[in-house]
Amino acid sequence: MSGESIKYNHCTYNLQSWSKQKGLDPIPIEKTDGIYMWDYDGNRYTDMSSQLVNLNVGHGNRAIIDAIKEQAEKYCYLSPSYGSEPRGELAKMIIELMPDNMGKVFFTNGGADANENAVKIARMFTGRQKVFSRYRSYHGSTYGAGNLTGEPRRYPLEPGAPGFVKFFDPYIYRDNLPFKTEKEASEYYVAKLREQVIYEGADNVAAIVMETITGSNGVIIPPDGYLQGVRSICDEFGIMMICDEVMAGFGRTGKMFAFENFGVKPDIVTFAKGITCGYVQLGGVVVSKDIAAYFDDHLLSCGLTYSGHPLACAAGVACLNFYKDTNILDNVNRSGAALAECLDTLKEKHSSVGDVRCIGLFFCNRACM
Amino acid sequence: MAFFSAIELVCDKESREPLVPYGKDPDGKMKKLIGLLKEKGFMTYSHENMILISPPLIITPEQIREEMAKVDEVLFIADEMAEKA
Repeated sequence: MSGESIKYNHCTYNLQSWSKQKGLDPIPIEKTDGIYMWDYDGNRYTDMSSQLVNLNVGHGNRAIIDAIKEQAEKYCYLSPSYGSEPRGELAKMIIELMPDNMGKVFFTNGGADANENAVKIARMFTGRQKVFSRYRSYHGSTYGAGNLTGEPRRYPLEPGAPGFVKFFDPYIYRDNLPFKTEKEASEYYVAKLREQVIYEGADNVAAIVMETITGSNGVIIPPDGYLQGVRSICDEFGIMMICDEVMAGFGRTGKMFAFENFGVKPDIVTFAKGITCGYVQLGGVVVSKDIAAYFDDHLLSCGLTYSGHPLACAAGVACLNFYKDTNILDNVNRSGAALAECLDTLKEKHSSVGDVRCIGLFFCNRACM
Repeated sequence: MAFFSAIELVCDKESREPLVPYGKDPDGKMKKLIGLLKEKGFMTYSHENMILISPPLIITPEQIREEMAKVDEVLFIADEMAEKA
């Protein structure tokens, strides 16, 4: 098929997400390798967003492709109640990467349904209803996850489900408040959140859901002390701290999970994207040992036909092994330093660049306060 | 260090007024900037007044420098947009 035919079919028959359909101009891709893609005319494109911040290992990863093929030859699918080698193995590997308070994994298809199930689990475990999430956030756009999302992609769901409460992010650059230190900023934001939790009735708050580092809404990095402060609020009122690591997880911030940068242990972690890098779609919810134990004697009222899909889990096992075998975090830290340098230079040089943010640029953020 | 970054564009460094208003891009400024990057083979996306840069974790420092030079070139157009705003 020619590039032109592919484009024609795309524009004629596909509804493309987040777009006005008229005038779309998709690049038909013929082949990919590593960070590069080529169209049917041989033009090369560099993937500087890892597709949708999910293709951490780049295109054409041989180990993952082989693992999927091998699993497909054994069996492609078993329902969630059967024992499946990659399903159990991947859950074990994820728990081994997590802090010592975490116990079990519930697999989903992706990030949105991971967040929805995390909310359900928090509600079942606490017996409470309200859920806090932030305005500058994206947690998915299905009906449940879309109610967590705070940015304009939430609007089509409105008026939305009751019980979803929004609060503001610690967006120091935009708030432009005269904080002298990160600690001072954190104290301010944490105190505001604590006050809001009390006003909403702390006894009925099941969870506070946050992207550990806000992703698509601008890589908003919390000041040091902020997540620790949210942890304290959760401890004080018996609220579940849910860290959405869908985008930030699996190495993107120089640690396996972004919350490790702040020394906090969440109660629930959601993941997707980097667990399989899109080779097969997969997401999931990691719950604490306390929550896992609760469901020993209480029904886990969550389910999906494709929960723990064997092909996806086989891809996940290969992907985690690739991260480990290639010391991927070393490369993130080494090449990340080059990116940080470039960003710093751009900020100095260009009058339109107000701020540049990546986690290695903590000190730059501090200087901007 | 990380591969999770954003460049926030403003009309004026002092006032920090965003290059485009929240939830809107009436003059298609961000669309134009992303289009100019695409012409150079640099594929990414924007959100509000921000350009997101989050390459695969396997990228090398040399590849980073080669690609970020393209961003540098396109930001001169953003500078012009900011001056006219």
